[in-house]
Amino acid sequence: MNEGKRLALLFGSIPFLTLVFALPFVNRVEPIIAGLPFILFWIVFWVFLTPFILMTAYQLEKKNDNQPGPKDKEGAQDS
Amino acid sequence: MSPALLIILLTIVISAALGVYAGSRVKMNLENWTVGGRRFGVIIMWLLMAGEIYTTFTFLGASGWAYSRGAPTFYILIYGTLAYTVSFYILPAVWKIGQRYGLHTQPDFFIHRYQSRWLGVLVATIGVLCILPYLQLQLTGLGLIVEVASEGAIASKTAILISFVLTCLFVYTSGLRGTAWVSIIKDIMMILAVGIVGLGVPYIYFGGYGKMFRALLEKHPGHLTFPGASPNMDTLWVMSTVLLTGLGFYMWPHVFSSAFSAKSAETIKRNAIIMPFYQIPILLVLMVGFTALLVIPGLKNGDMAFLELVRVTYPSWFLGFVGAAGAVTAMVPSSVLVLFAATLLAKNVYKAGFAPQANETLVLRLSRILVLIIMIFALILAFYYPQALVNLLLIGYNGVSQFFPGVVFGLFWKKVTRLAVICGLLSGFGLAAILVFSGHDPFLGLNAGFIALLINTLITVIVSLITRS
Repeated sequence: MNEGKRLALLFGSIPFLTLVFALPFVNRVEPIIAGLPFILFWIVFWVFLTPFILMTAYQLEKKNDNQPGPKDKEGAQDS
Repeated sequence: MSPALLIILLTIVISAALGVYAGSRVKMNLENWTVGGRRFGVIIMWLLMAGEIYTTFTFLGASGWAYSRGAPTFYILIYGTLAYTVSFYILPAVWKIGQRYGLHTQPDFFIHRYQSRWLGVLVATIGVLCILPYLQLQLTGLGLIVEVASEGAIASKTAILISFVLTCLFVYTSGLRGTAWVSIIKDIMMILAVGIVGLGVPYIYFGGYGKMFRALLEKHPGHLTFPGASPNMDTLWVMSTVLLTGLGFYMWPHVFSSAFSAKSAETIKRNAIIMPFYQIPILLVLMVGFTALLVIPGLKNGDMAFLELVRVTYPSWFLGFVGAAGAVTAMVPSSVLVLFAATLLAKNVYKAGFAPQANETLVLRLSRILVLIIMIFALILAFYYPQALVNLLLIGYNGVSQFFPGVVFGLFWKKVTRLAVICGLLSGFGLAAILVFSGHDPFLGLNAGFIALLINTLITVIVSLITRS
């Protein structure tokens, strides 16, 4: 797995951190932001941000595509 | 004929006609029929995926949950987003294998990766068992929507029968291409209906959604935080449920195959990037449910909240429009569900299990016949035994999610073995069934399917390490 792929995966974990594991800490109504109770605002905010996170992951993968990385577990499909 | 009735009938007929036309321009073979000839670009993929994802459940169920359960309904906003994130990382790899070895279905993938026809038969059988109740649910939902929206002018059974015949017609002739084209009409109508009602009703009754939420918090203080009105759906349940459904979403046989209909791995990645935007309309659907709780409290069936609120708020022709949108919203997922149930049975149960020598022409012919048989079966269930599959419905997501370890390890871990996947799959599916049918879902506050998926993963890893040669 090359540097770009690893960084891209790191970015992919953001929605899981914010939309799953952070839930116990944001399960409240106050403060109301943009008319939404806080928990709903939090969820909508990160849902809306996810395309931009994935976009960044995509560009990171692309940028590092041409640089040869150390070969490891990848390509199991060829076995 | 009332305007509402006219809108509903015209929409259904035009949609089906477009679906039939979509397939009339290409020579039909199995590849064209099941995966649209592997030629879908970003836009048509997006429309198709949205077509598959927005089912009658999204429409009626999400607002119904907002109405009767409150905050736990937020899980719908989350799990889709997680699913698209997962798809960004795993679907391109699935696409590559599909392209190289000419795969069409999810069991094809298992057969190829684990070199076992019988694993394919097993995966196909579980897949079909999970699909059938969803198909019936779409038909039942469609009947309900049209009956309410036409204010009784079209009886539920008539509506089901008409749309059933038309859906069969375009699936039979055009396959996935038909579904993709009808999705265009569906997506536009759906976005209009949800947009107008979702932005409209909080404004009409409260002068804005912010004021609506404030009124809701005053009247039902606990409704908008977990566990809302469902004490057994607390934060832990939401977390385990979004993980299960987020990982399981692309394990639905028909959704998994979307990887094979894309033009390229690039298409899939770009599609995954923009998909989360499709969650925004769900927010509007939820607002309709919340508004309904304040405006028309005490409904016996929360799932009727959306339509009831439209009925008391808007003129009858608009109710007809919403009903028409609801009807195509049932037709599109029905078409793809029946298409894949039929293909799985023909290609991965019949051919893989019993007739390896069968050629593609025969498989296509059999799939098409099975479309009719499965639809008639679903129709009979919807008419005469609406409760027969309710139990299976409960296990749908729990069931298909158990494919996840087999797929992901199959893609990225060389050491995984056939026996390990079979053991994991059977124990995961079995455990989920036991917990759900014995009334232990949620179990210890966690979604039962999630526990099953953990056990499944663990067993797959352990058995792989023991049995690897």
